[in-house]
Parts: sequence; structure tokens; C-alpha cells
Amino acid sequence: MNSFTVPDLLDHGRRSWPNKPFIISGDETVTFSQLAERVDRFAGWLFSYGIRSGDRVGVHLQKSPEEIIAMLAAARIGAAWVNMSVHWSAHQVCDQARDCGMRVLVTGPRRASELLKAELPETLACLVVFGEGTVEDGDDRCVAWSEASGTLPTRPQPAIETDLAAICYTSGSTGRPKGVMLSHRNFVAATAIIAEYLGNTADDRLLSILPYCFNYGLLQMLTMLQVGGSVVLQRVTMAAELAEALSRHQITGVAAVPSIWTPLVAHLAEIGGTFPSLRYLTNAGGKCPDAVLAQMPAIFPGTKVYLMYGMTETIRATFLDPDLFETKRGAMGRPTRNTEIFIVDAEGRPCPRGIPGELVQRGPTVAAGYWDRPEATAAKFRPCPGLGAIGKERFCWSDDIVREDEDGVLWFVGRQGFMIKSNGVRISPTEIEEVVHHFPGVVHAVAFGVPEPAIGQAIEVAVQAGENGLDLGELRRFCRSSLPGYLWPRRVHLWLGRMPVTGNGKIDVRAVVDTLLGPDATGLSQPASAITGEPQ
Amino acid sequence: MSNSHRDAIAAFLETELGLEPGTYQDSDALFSTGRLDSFSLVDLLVFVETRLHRSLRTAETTLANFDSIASLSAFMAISP
Repeated sequence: MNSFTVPDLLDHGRRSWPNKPFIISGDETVTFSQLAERVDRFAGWLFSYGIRSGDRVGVHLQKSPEEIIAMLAAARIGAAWVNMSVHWSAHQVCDQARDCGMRVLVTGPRRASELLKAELPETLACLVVFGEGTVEDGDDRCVAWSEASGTLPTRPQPAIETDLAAICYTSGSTGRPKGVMLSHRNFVAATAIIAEYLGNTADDRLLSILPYCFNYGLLQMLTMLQVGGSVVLQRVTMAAELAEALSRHQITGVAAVPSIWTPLVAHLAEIGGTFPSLRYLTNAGGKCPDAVLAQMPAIFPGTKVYLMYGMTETIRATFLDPDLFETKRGAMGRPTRNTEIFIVDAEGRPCPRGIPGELVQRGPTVAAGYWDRPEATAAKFRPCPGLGAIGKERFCWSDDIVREDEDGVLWFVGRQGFMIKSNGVRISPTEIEEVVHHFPGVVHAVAFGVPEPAIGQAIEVAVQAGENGLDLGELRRFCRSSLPGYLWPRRVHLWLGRMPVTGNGKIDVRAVVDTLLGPDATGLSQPASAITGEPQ
Repeated sequence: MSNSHRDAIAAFLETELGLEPGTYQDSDALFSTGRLDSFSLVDLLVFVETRLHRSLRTAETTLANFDSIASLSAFMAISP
């Protein structure tokens, strides 16, 4: 029987592999049938509380079986889950709950206490509290997770594939977070596409590092639901702990972002490690520095490396076939199956091969739009008039500048809002960051433009150093010898400590730039978080 | 165990990471149990590097050293 909805995937798992472990979390193992039973119990409670098809159920928990159960239970009765990063403040959680009219929120005791002291949105009348700790006694707005159990009606209204399955909020680094509306069809289509190209099977055991509020992390879980594999929940992202978990759990596949790969690869390059079970690894959520990618084949011999690209609004768009890793290292690859991508100019006309343009995408994984944001939806999801008859279809405009090489492989050039315009030339920060990453001791690099009336923008770079630090003067000389003159950074900032990351674990470029260019940085005083090199 | 490190670590956990005073023991596992999240762990690493002036090697950045106030205090006491 075909799966059309996320609950269909769960039912398929329950029927096909009832006693096989699906979740491994510390000492706890949850089989497919146990998962389905626990989902039904919480779905039964949600239904008895009055949650119905189309309602929004918030999930704001540490990575845990209960987090997965809460999301799937909402889907089971046709409601939409709204998974919010544990990185968010109580204030942000309230904002998003208010934005989407959330009715129930599943969270931990500490956050529940904070929320109860704040002004909860009118629609949010109930917090389901999971975990050890104390919440205000006698507050009738709270229900303990252990008591939130009920029986599903014999004929609950099931979701259909075009129904809303989830609202995924963007990180908000460029303004108020927008709720991306993803349907069951979006998730089921993406699950099938991804499981196919990764060759996932019931023998897979994935290390689940990334949060489930992040589609990249969520799809690891959904693909295992489809194929009968297992997810090992990994809460901490320390490189030494990840290396140990890869070995101890005989992990076959792992997904991470550049801010995780960089220290992990550095750690394994130093101490070594063998992972005979590791069949593949993936990178998405940003371009992984070439200096890191170059080390991967030696560190993970026999492991396929998949470089992937996607957006919250389309889940997944491209991947690079691992067989091309050596010859096209760093590329985005080609469109995934059942996905169509064009590179277009500002008027929506296709760019000639080799000429950079904006990536636009259509297909079954493209989101329905942004929750309650018709203008933003119309701007992001719209036709592409320069493409002829097909251009009348609905495309997602990515804001990402991409070029296609002579073999039809796509390469990331830069994010539209972050491109640097200096002396009349459009410059991709990635181009500079790639070179800076090759300087010994650089862990993370962020290149950005600073207003400079004479030339438009001047180039500056912020770097986070590794354990042994680095010499800014040497780095500047390295840039001068390795980059063409128009790409030389005017200033290099040494970031003290670790660069901020978004809720999805990616380097928060906007926060880095804002810190360096904010009032503290542009005035006479030195920013507390960085040492700035002498101007060239 | 260095009391100064212990007190500084506990103060940071309480004031910056929301660990409620009086609700924990120094030996309580904080990160492996999910009591504090992985982002708080990153904040703690930054605190150790910038405020306690201890440069961390990746191989030292393990749960064994960072999971509790007691383990981190002991790690700081024997570190250079």
C-alpha cells in the first residue's frame, strides 16, 4: 500500500517491522510497534482535549523519543506539529505560538515554568510537561506527559496528503521568523526521494545529531520510518563524543552541517578512528569548507560522501553523486529525482550555462507558503515568466545564486542578501571563505561587506581559531598571496571563543556580522567578542 | 578540587544557563540527561575558554569532563 501521509509511514513501519528498534536513546530502545502505540495514546489524549484536524500542536523538547512521539501524534489526528528549537527563548516561543495560533505545547518543566510566568497567547491554554523538574503546583494549564494518554476514536478524521503536516519556522536571521507550511505530500515525497538516492534500507542505523525542527534532521527520522532502519539520538555535538558514538553504535549513516564537520574532521585527523560500518555521510545546511572536504576520504575511507542542498521551503533540491566527489568536490550536484530546477536572471529568463543566476525550483517538495504571510508567500512562491509555458507553474525562488558547469553540475555562488559589491564587482563571500579556510588554524570563517562610500563595500573577514590560535598578520599575508587583489580583505577579525550558531546548528552569519558592525564595533571601543587586525 | 573554579562554574550555570539554585548536586549529570541542552554546552565551553582562560583541546571536550560541576571542576584543577 502506498504511503500518502506521515501517519501512513508510521503504520507501514508498525506492520512491517513491529519488533525492530526504531529509536535508540541512551539506554532506551523504542520499537516500531511501541512507537505506534505511544503515538496513538498521546494522539488519543490530544483528541480528547479537543485538538482537531488543522489545529497546531507545539513541540519544544530536547531530542528524545517523546519529541518524535508528540510530532507524530499531532499528525495522526490531522493536526500540524510546530517544532521549535530548544535554542529559542521563552519570548520567541510565545511569539511563534501566537503567530500560528498554537493550542497545545509539549515542553520541559523549566521552559514551562518560564512560559507560565509570561503572558501566554490566548489560544495556548495547555502545556504538556515532559521531564524531571518542578512546575508550579496546581496550575491547571499544565498536564504531565505521563497523564496525557487517551484512546483514539475508532474513526478519527485522517489527514490526506495535501493537508498541512507541519509549520517549520525559519531561523529569523533576516527578520521575523516565517512559518513554512509543509504538507504531508511534501514530507512523503521528500522521504522517498532521499531514501532512494542514499540507498537507505532496514539495515541502516543513523546517528541523529541535528534537531527535528530542522528539515535536514527531521528527514533522517522519516527516511528510517519508511525503510525500517533506526535512529540513534545524539544530544551533544562534541567532536570526541560524536566519534565515540559512530563507533559504539556501528552507525551506517550520519548527517551534519559544516559547523559540526569542521571540528569532527580536525579531531579525527589528530587522533584517528576507524568506522567500518559507516556507509555514507552527508553535508547540507551550508557549503562545507574545501579544506574539510579534502580530508574526508582519508578519514572515512570507503564511506560515500553526499553533498546536498535544500531550503526549508523545499526540503531538498540537489545532491552530488558520491562518485563525482573527487572531480566535483564542493559542488551542489544535480536536481534530485522528481524535482525541476532552473537558474534564471532577475526577469526569470534562463541563464546561459556558466552564468550565475538565482535557483528556482518546482516539484512535490515545494512548500505551500508561509503561515499567515500572503505577501511574503507571493514573493517567494511565484511563476517564472521567462521559462515559457512551464513558467506559469509555481516555483520557489531561492535567493541563492548558483551556476551550472559544463557537465550540468550546479555550484553554489552565494546568498543574494550576503553578496558583496566592491568596486562594481559582485563577490561571493564563499569564494573568500574557501581560501581563508586553507590557512592552518582557521576553524570557521565569515566574509562580509562593510559600507565604504568610495567603493561600495569593503571586504572584511571574521575567523574563529583552533586550539593553537593563529597569527592575524600571517593570515593577512596568506590572503594576499592566495587571493586575487580584488578579493583581499581590508580587515580580519579574530573571533574570541566560538561563533554563534542558529537553532539548526549553522554558523549564524548575520549574528557574527551584526556583532562586528553593531554600535560597539563601529564606535571607538573594541567589540568584546573579537580582536580586529590592522587595516591594510 | 579548586573551589574558585567550582564556584565560578556554578555561578555561571545558575545565572547564564538557568540552573535553579538549590535544585542540583555537584555530581548531577547535566548534559547527558538533557537537563541542559547542547547549546548551553557551547555556552559553557565559551565560558571556560574566555572567562576561565583555559584553552580547550577537542580531545578534552568530552562529556566525562563537562557533564557535571564536579567533573568540570576536577578537570580544571588538573589542567594546565
